[in-house]
Amino acid sequence: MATQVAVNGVRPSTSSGRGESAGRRIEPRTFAQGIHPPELKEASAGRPVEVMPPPAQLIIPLQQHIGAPAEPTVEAGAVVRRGQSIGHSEAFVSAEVHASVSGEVAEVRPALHPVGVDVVSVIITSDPEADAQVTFEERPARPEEMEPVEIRRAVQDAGIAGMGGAAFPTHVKISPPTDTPIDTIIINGCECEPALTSDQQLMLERSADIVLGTQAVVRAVGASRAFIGIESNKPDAIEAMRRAVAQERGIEVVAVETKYPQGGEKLLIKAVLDREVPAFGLPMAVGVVVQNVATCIAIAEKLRLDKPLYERVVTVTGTPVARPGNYLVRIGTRFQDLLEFADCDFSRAGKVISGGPMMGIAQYSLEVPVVKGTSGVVVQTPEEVDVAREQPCIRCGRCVDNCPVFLEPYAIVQLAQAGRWGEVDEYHIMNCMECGCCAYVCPAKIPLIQYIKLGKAKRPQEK
Amino acid sequence: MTTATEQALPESQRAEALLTFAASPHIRSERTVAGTMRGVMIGLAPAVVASVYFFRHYAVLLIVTCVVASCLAEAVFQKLRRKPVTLNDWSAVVTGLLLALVLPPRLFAEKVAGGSAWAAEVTWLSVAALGAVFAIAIGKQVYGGLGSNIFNPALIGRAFLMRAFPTFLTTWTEPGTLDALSGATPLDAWKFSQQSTPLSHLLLGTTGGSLGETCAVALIIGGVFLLVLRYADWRIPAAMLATVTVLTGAAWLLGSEQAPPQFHLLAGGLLLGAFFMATDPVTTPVTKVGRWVFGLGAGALLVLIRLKAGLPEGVMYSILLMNAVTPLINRYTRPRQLGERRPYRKAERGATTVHMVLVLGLIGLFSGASLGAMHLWTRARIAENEKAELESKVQYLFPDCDISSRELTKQIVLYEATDSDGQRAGYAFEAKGMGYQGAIRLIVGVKPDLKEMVGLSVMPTNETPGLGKRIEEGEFREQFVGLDVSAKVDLVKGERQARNEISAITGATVSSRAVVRILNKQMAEMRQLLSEDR
Repeated sequence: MATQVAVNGVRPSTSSGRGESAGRRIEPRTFAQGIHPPELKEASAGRPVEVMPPPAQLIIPLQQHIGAPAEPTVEAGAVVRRGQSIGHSEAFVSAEVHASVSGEVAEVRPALHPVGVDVVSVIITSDPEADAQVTFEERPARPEEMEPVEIRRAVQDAGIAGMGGAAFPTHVKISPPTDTPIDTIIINGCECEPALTSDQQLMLERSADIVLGTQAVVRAVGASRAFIGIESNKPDAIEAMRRAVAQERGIEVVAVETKYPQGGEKLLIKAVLDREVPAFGLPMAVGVVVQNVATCIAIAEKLRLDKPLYERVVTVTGTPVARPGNYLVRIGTRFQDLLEFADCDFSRAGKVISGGPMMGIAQYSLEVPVVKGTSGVVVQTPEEVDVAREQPCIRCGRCVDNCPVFLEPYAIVQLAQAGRWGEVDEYHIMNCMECGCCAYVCPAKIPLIQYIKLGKAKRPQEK
Repeated sequence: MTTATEQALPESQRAEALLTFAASPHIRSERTVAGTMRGVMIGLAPAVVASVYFFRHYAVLLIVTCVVASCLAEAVFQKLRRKPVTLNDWSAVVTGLLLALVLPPRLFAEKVAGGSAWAAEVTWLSVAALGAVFAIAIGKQVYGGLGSNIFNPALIGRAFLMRAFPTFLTTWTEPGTLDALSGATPLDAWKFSQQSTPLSHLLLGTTGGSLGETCAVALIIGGVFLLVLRYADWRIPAAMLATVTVLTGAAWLLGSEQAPPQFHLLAGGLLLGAFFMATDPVTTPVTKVGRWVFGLGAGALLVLIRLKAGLPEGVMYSILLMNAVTPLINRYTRPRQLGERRPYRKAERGATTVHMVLVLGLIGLFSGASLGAMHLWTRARIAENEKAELESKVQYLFPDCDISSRELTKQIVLYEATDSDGQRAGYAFEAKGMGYQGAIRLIVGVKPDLKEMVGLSVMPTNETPGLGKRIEEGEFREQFVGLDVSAKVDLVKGERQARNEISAITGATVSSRAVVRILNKQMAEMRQLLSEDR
């Protein structure tokens, strides 16, 4: 597919301060540059969420989040109840881990994690009968009547981390320092990754919980308003969310142009508010906090049901998958089990990706578990796997033309190939969000993201 | 990939399926380097078809020779460099094709020892092949191959041939006739003879020129195809064509004797250069702003060369010069990151625009000042030397005579020759004008009645060696002894039939015509002035 530059691309504004520029709002809004990959969503879009029963064994890593790993609070032989805490950390930037099923702890040992390394995990053998008896009581939840610190505490207790994929501990995100006021919340319903449809389905089925979660976040940070950003290729979700917020003051649905990577928080802030997060900075620097729709639902479930985070909706799709769809899966379910449940023809599996095809991580083992940040599992046939050979860079400039943060990937590659790691910072390598736009468009099939990751690892680390 | 990974994994983690493990992204656009090259060739197809239509077998032979030579050169040099042979990226084919399209279609038999048409064609194809080899070897491979060269390889090949075989590269043929030596492209005709070419001829290609540059319509169709399908960035052609339009338009409106902008757009190699040479990604800037700068610079240089320099055409040099500063442009047009404040990167090795302007400005100022000072210091002496030389030439025309000089007007010095008997032997005066490659200065000697010439001296010129420069030689000049200048002198090709005719030097029509034109003009003026003077 030939790539296209933004249609109504908004050129970066010259100030990264607050204040939207009046008169530059065109529906749908967008950011400058970026790409339009094929959407690949037909297989699973609109399929109602299907509950996958817990498999015989779950592998629950004690680190599924950014920050310090949790310490196990159970040991082999312990009987656990679904929703019970099995991992805890005293560190602030960390997350609680809970049992996704009732059963017995088989062992606590390092196990392979989807990011590709071994992480200490709690292996639970499930007990379906005991599990079926666990219920959570519904109770009224009114975030506007709660203290912000109460909300943060609840979120922390529930072990909620960003479910868009980054898995940043949510209670940290909604605890901005007192000297950094937040005025706007943006809820991320973009789901810009091709092939993924779980967030879309959640917006159709769980719009009320999304609103409840939004209210909680607004209350927790003291913001005055919230926007829900949804890409224009999901008119059903836009409609559903608009109906859900119709009676709300302070929450507005904003349609944004369908373009990758619109779901990146800096780009979403740019599109919705026309504010630029400072390079190497955080959204709170411009008074914004961004949360994924699934994270909002997890917050809502904690407030309504006192239910911790132990399951999530995962899109399972790909040519070899006979039953593509959006599955409600217990955290810790092995990819092997999940793909069997979705009737995947393993003989035709060439690549299995955790996440979406643009930023997802290819897996070399199906023993890895679904974790809090697993938004999808995409399977490619061997023929669909792109194994093009790397050719010399012809300096066509497509990587520069399409990078959403205006970097120059070709230059980083040149430096990396020459081993000049000390100079990669001149090209602002740490500002790269590894979205993959550059590698997508490169005609020479240079593995740009791989070079960038290498550069980030090898650069002098004193910064 | 999978085998090694599998072996490194402990038993518990070996997958049942063979899974490919690679960094993201896991989907990619279908555009490839080879596909881009093929796209460029499709864009060139209309021009190729036109060239075959106009120049027939000469076009076919030339294109095939250049393409084959390029590919062979690339294969050989890659083997010599012990690198894999990458002809399958089609870049050598494109270089060969482009080189063929910027060369004249053929060589004429008169230029080649042996004199047969067949020998001329073989010679020409060999020369073209040599150019192709040079283009690939020196223009591309020594830099490190595809992606590493600074200059456009096809243009490097042409530049090499221009300097190594200048006579071959400056003869043209009219399409259709194919056998007649025309000696002029539309740009030549304009610059040296003030002749304009109808736009329809420029559009359809019924003019002289290099193989691919004549048919504007074919180039525009191909160029638009290239831009619409994004095989080339539209910014460079747009900037280049816009700059040429604006600058030539301004010159046309403000000055006299300038061609209108549409002429400049359609004539010569501008369309070929703007769409197909200046869009070569390797040698042009990588940023959007940089591309605007490139196009603007190339357009401005082109207009400067066409209007002010001695050459009729400047596309090749303007693009090569901009190629040279492309790394600089890349450095100074780096995009502002998302979230980066202006002003930014203050301390980045002094690489700010202000710094660049200051440095370049100082260098320019210093160079200009030195040149100016040198010029002032030597001006007087140069004038003296020139005067002495002039006088010696006049003396040569009128041996055994006394020469005296007086100022007829502010610009014209009249030399009067008086023989030993005290009789007026004749007059001599300077005549100046534009030749093919620069100014031509003549010293004209006439009998006192101004009806018959005594002789002609030609001061050293910059005309093409072996061709135009032969106007300085005796064979040409002796025609002027006894020439009837009572009325206009005519230039003829072939034998002189009358006493007021001068036979042009074969292959140097433009220079010969310049001499005659300059002579006529000066004669008319001298007749006027001397009659007033009496």
